Amino acid sequence: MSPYRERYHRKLDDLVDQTRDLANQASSAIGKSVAALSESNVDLAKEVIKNDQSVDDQSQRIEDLCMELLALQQPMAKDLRRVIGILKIAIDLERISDLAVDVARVTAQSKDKIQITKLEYIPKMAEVDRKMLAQTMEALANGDADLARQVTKWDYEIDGLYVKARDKILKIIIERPEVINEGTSLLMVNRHLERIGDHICNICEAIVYMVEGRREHLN
Amino acid sequence: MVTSKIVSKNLSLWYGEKQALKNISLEIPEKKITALIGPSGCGKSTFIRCLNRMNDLVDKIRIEGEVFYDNNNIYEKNVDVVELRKRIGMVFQKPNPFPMSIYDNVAYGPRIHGMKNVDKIVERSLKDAALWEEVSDRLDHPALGLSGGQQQRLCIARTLAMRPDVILFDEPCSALDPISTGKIESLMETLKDNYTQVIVTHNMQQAARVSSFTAFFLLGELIEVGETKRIFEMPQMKSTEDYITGRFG
Ligand SMILES: Nc1ncnc2c1ncn2[C@@H]1O[C@H](COP(=O)(O)OP(=O)(O)OP(=O)(O)O)[C@@H](O)[C@H]1O
Ligand SMILES: [Mg+2]
Repeated sequence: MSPYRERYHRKLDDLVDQTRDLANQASSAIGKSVAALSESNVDLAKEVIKNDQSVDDQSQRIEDLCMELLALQQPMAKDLRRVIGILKIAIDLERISDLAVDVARVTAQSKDKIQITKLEYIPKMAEVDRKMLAQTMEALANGDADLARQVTKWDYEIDGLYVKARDKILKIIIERPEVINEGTSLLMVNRHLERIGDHICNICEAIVYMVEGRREHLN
Repeated sequence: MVTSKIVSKNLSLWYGEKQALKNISLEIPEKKITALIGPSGCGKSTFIRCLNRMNDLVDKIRIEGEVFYDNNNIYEKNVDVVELRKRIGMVFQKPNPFPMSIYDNVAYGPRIHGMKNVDKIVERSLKDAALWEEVSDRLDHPALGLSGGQQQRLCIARTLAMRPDVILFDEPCSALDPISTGKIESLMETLKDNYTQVIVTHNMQQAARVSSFTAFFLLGELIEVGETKRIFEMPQMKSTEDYITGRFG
């Protein structure tokens, strides 16, 4: 095989590595933003916000690499599906990071500590989100469409936790109207973590498409 | 519904001892462009030459199986091969104009077939081949003075002058620059509504751009055929995928 072709195939593999790197950053943003919220740790929240630049840069790097491959190599078949799939995955990963940043902002901007309740469901959701994301990247690296399909099943757990957290927060707001602002912020956080699960399902759909060429609606 | 213009059934071909086509069953849809792709020596040219019996001219050749054109087997004894080649024209890789004027190149076929209104046919054919604008003021000039891209369009005009039904292109652009290639491709596009076209090409992007259906050949076998979009997005056979993604050999 020609050295040009080899370099091309290396770049296609590189695309997956770069995407995993972006996913790691997104995952750590989820973990830290929720830890910051639980511990009212403003510094940690600010760290997440600051790191968003690095996430954007990484996402840009992936987009550039996809553009380069499309323009110079005209990928076909599974290679084409990989480039298109990763373009979509990178967008979802960037959105996930943005949502984590929004969670961090709640902590960073609150003058008073948000401790209207012990956060039991919210950290649990973040944990499930991160577990899903790790498995999703496993599926991407191994071209494992079945694993990608399985991951989307976890979204039911996220949805369940979301409803529980929402009902609990609403109950507190009704009982203690003076915490309306903090309660609303928590409702937003809850919603963001649920949305992250949806983005991960989108990524899983992209992986199934990359591997099998089939457009499946998962979840 | 897509109707088939040409159908090959279990078509095999031997050059002497060497088998070049193995049991090819392929349907060429009417008024569509079908691309044939595959590595060098896989039998693409051999196959399209079977579709208008161009291979009859090669000696030590043996053909088995059938080729139907409008449901008639073209390998039956009583088939008029000259008439067949008039209906199924062919454009080759290297433009091959006759050493005569531009006009005479196009008029040649119609004249020997005793067609009337030759002037009209020449003008119509040159216009359809998107060459008229460039040559209308010098029809009496030698065809060999044209550029490669113009010569190729002249050969297409020569084919069109015979009022064919099917046009077979064997790597028509491999000697052309991207601009001439673009002209041939847009020409194929405008001919699409009235002609059935088959194109052999080594240029994957060209196959993807111009054709509705793509067939992949390998070592004399038809490996896979389907809608072009599907072949290039999701080929079913590993060898097709290896070939179009450049992972061959
Ligand atoms: N006239 C001939 N006599 C003997 N063998 C031939 C003849 N023409 C072609 N062949 C052989 O038949 C096989 C198919 O050749 P063919 O020209 O059809 O391939 P192809 O797919 O058109 O290749 P390319 O892309 O290089 O044009 C090759 O192995 C070739 O060597
Ligand atoms: Mg050939």
